[in-house]
Amino acid sequence: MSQRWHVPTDLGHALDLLRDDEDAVLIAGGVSMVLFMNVGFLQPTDMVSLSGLRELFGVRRTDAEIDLGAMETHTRLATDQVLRAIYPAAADMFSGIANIRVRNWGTLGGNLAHADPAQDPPVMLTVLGASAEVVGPDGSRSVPVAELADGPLTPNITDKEIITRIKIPAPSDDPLRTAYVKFLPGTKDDYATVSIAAALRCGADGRLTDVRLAGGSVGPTVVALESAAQCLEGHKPDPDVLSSVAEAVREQVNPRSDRRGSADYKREMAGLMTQRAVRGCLEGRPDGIPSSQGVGA
Amino acid sequence: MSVNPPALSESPDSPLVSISFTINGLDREFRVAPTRRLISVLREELSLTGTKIGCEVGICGACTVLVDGDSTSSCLTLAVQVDGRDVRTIEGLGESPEFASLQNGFLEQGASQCGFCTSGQLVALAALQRRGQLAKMSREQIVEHLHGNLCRCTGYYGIVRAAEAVES
Repeated sequence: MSQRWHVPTDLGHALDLLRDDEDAVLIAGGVSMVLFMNVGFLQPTDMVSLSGLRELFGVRRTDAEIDLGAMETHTRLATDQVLRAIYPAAADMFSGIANIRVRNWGTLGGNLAHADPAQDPPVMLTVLGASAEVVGPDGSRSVPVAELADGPLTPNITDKEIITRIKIPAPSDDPLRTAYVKFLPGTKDDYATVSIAAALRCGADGRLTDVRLAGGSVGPTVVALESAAQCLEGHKPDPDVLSSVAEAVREQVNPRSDRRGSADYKREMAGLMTQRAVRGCLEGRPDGIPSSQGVGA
Repeated sequence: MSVNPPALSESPDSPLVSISFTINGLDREFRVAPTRRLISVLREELSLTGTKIGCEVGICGACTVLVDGDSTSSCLTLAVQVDGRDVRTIEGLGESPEFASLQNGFLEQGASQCGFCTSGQLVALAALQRRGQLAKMSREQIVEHLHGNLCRCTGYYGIVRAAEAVES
């Protein structure tokens, strides 16, 4: 069994390696890949490392967007001052992924390509309207992060393509209010039992507009909670409105029972955490944790 | 139980990759199969057995080493990925004079019982100490940082007390 290791420094060369060798697999931080090797799910023969491709690194700010390199690690994104200033909930989301070692090596692009439905980044990036630039032998295409996975561990990219950048709309005026609620009734380094991301704008009259809600760990991929968002759109966040939001979430999600919770429990918590996420947006609490409760509540 | 394949013998079809990295301050060169894990090179080629194999899925922290000063799961890192980098294991932390205070704290506070997690705990804390961060951290921040280092014996109290006692 031949094994090869390539570290191309040119994106075109990397694409050629993928095109010419059907066994070639990409490796970013390697966290998920080496884990799969350790448990026997994967025996790569030819690996193409992305660590030499400079165009996949860096965080860039323009008037209209923040542009994140696919090879940026969760630690770097958690500590990026530009991202934190504009979308603090996104920076907090990156800082809450797994543990420090996973964050130091795991990359945003690798995370999106892994497509585990319990992951954090796709949920937050969906409500921010982010899209991934995917480059392949036929050129590049833009894929909304919400559409980057077809199912669990099934990314919507071919084995000849590379996720290069992730672009988040970020107009300078009237930024979205954001929150990311990661419900962890077990240990803090675990995947979420359920997670909810919220983004919205609040008018001077107290009515909410441009509402986006998304759920993680509540379906085979990120669930865009559209009917719940519609309950809020144009309304004030009164108790009866928030009740209907939770009801809409419970109806839309389709969680599976596993060691993190039963399907019924996750369904109930998804509704509750959505309410917390909305309040988190309005009260400037990006993690959605009510101020009367402690860490982990 | 590890399914990591052993290093392949060299053949035209399976070239070993030449890598070089600094390990505990020494520059070393190796020829490794691409799928060889860093932990395997550390323990087997270098006899640096202070770093332990635990869960092999990145959760327990027993395999923690520093790569360019950053906490790293050596069981989830390929040796080829540290080419050109600076690697430090538990055996290489003592060259920093302030590490002694952390070590003594572990002894004084009962931070170690069976010892299996101890290397990883010390490396994780040393990462903070070497960046001048540890002495400034609150108990809550220390606990937060150590979430990825599991201990089945001590209940963590001694480890956290030892970390808090560090003044620089």
